[in-house]
Amino acid sequence: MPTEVTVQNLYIFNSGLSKTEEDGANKILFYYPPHEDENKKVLNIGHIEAIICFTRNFNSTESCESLRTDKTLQVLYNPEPDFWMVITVSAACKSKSKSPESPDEPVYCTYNLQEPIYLAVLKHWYQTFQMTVGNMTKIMNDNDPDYLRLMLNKFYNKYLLSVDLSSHTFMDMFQGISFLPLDNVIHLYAQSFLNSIENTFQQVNFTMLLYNDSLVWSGLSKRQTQLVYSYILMWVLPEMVRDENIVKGNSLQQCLPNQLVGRFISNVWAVKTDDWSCDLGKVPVILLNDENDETFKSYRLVIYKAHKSIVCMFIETDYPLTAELYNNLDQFLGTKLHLLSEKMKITVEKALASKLYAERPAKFVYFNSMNLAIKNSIKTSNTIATTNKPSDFNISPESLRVLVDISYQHSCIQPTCSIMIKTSNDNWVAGRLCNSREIYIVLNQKLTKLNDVDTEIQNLCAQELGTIFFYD
Amino acid sequence: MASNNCCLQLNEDPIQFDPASVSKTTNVFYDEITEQIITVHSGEMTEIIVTSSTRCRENIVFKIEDRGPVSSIKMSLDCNILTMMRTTLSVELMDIKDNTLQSPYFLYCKLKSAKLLGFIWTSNNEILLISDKGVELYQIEGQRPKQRIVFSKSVCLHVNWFIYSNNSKILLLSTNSFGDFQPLHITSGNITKLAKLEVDLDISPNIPHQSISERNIVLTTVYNILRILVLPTSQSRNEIIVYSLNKMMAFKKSHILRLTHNGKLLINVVDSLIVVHYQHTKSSSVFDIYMEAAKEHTISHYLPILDDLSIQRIVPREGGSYFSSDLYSHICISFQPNVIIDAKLGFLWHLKLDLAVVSQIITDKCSLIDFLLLRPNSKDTTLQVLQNMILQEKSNLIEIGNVFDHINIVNKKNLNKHIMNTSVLPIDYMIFAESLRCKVVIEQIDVYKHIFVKLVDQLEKNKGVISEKKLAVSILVEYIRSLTDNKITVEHFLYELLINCLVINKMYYQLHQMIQYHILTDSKPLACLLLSLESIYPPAHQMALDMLHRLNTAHEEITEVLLSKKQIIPAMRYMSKHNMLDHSTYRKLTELAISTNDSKILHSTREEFIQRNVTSNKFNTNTKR
Repeated sequence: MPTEVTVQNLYIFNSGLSKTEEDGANKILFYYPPHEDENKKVLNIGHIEAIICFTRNFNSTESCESLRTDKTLQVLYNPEPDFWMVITVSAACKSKSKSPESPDEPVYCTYNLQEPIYLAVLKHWYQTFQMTVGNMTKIMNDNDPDYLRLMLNKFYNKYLLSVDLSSHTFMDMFQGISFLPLDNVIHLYAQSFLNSIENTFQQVNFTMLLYNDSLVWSGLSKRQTQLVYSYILMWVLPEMVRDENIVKGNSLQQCLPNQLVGRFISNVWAVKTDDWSCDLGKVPVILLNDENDETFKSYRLVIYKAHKSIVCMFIETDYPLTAELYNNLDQFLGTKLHLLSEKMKITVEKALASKLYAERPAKFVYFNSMNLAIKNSIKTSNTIATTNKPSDFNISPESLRVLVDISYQHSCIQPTCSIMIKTSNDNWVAGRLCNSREIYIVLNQKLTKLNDVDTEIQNLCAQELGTIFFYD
Repeated sequence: MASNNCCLQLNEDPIQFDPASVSKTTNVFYDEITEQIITVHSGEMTEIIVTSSTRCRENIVFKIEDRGPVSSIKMSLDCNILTMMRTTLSVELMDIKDNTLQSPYFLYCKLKSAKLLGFIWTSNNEILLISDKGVELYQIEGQRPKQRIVFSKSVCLHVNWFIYSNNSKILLLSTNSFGDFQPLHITSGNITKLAKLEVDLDISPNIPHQSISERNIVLTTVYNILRILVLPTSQSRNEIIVYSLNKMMAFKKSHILRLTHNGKLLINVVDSLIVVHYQHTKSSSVFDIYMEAAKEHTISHYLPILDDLSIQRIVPREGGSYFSSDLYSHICISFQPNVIIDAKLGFLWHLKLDLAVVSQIITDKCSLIDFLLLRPNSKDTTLQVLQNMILQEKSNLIEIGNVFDHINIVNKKNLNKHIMNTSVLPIDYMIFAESLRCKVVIEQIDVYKHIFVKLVDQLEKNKGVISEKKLAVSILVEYIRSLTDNKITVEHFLYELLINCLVINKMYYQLHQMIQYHILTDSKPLACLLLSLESIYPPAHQMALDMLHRLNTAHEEITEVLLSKKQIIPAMRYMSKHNMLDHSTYRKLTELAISTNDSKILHSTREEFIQRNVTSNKFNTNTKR
């Protein structure tokens, strides 16, 4: 049964901002939809605040994460002390002929909504905000709540506009990174190339290399890489595809006429951008936290593309960006990146060719929480420069929901486990957790014996993930 | 002291001998084969002094009655016979016994009315006479004193002059003055004619033909191959043409050295470098014929790798004082390979190369490394250059990478040579010689000991500058990249150092990516190192297990790792899959199962063994407790 998910509201508040009953609206930092009645906003927040207080009686260490009603699911996230993010979603079943008597009356199926997905989305949005704008408490203390409101508005409006929340499924829970399968020789070339950038241009603190939408190398830490990677997938790659369709000749091109082989990607969306020179486009400013001392440092993110690869360069904001630096970078990067990218293309295509004949009826998703590597049986995402939308992942919504349930189970119990579930349409959905790795499999086969299912899973693991040690 | 800025130096303790300037009756002879200086003081009693330039023996002094002027004098190779030539008809031989000369006996040219040009000792008991009519080889048979000279072989042809190389036993005869040569290969008791050689000096046709004299030809060994260097005449182009003896035993034009100055030249060879001394400009140039050069009609054209060098000499005076002057006086003569003699002052020097100075002169690091790797005994200097680049100067990474490539190409060639050596196949000698081009091989252990260990030490000492820390990792990765590029197996200690370096820099995610992309080749020691990192980087545990799994030979280790994590059931499953469950393991498993205090695990363990029918008293008592 198709389900239509709608976001009823999304709000961020800080209870500490309102002291009395009268100034209840002060605690609102962000509210979607914006044209909601003021009283309704305060009422909704008050309602949630009450729930938070009430549930504290039962568990003083962990706060309430979700609230389920007949028509809605509310997911709560408490990223910083006193700051709360709340999302309210509802689901209506698109029934065709089930209730002919009352066609206007929607049939709710909130049971199809799953908390882990929305919690993951809230967390990811918050972390992206933290990376692109900063810590909420700090922004509020350094400036004033109004400034924070402005920033939150800029950020969440853009995200809510460009993201279809109903399309969020199982895959969004991981925020995994798809690594490009390369042999060690080519990978060493890539590393050597990136090292030489950092060595030649002292301004460049970190580098990251992507081929299409796959990561080749990141000089950042794990968490930073995850956030920057998803940011690039979300805002840079689609922009780039669109950019290539427009006739060339923007201001950046006029300023730097020598960009023959590669080009800089400019005017990428970000809350904070840097107008260091109006002719050369805007450069996003990104905050990366130093894991040793929890401080945030801001960097300009300069992106350069040649062939199918893009290099992300993180330049400390102390260094000025000049047309001269851009020209030097262009001269240094252009040909080298192009050649490297061509080499990568050859190896990737070779790997693909060898994989093609080994098509299996099973679909799988592999995720390693240790390095955030994600792998799925849909190989096309490596060759076409699009974000891997779940629609590509050709699994029925029912199976996806089962997968979410399995995954949620996993996080609660032992470090190793294996679950196999037979769905109503005689398919098998299985999940394995082992040594911080998760593998989810959907078998479109009519198997009767549990043992056969297990063998099929074993075979798949051996074939696709032979270099990994599984135990059960 | 030798001047510091010149890489070509004369040795500080020259050989001294009675100079020719003492009197008009004194003559000095130098023999390239035995490396002896023989001074002849003619007079009523002729005094002959033999000085060894290698200081392998004391001076020997003989006194004989005067029988006319000596035009050539040599010792036999074993220094048992003194040989001299006074006329163009015969050679005079005198045995040496107890440091005194025995009565002479004579060897005459067999060819009718031949004028003797000279003689050569080609081995301990073989002497070659060269006359204008041909070449004759004689053997000395029998033990002294009852020896006799036996004629063994002769070759008849017109000879202008000759030149001989003792290393290759090649005699080069000038058959006319237009540049035609006949090389002969002298083997024991035999003379073989090699292909004739025509030297063309590329002279424009309207200039009358210039004769090539003895002074224009140098026969010398460069890089273990015999070469003929043809020096320019006054009309020809200002270049030296090099002919090399190829594996078909024929001389072929191979290199051209472009000279930078005109005038009279002297040639030396030092460490397979051709050194050209220009007397006119009082300077020297150095050529290396194995470096890369521009090609013209398949022949490489070389410019000097080092130019405008000035060699100083220090001459001790009586009374302990010294005076220094340049070397390039017209009295100096050069001999092969690296001997310079001043007959007037009575000194013999050996020319030598100071690599440390060279490494300061050649600024392009790749050329410098190529140059150094071709020199013998240059390992220390090469490593010093690398140290300077990496530890002191902080050269840019691309340059460092290129230098690593140059080092590793040689390294790979050397490794291939070892493979060839161990194979049973007959080795083509010349191919072998070709691969031996480079004298010095910088192996992984050398770079590790002299560069990387110090680099990491530096890293640990000055904690702070992040860019420097990252550079250390970059350099290591660059070296591994270069090794992998040249298909050389990377040694474990480099991986270990790289991991340590990454850990110092807290670049854990980078380490993870490197393991993921198999930049670090799997091995048990590496897996153990990763296991030890678990406390500071928990995912290392997973990486280590994967690595052990990929090795496919580490079943025991995997079991141990699982058991150390109290993963008893997984461990047991794994063991049963690999047939590792037997009497020796059940006790250990059971003890571990008891220590978990988990009755389910204990039960499963017991059941497993009961099903396998592995029971014993010990087992039962343990479980009943």
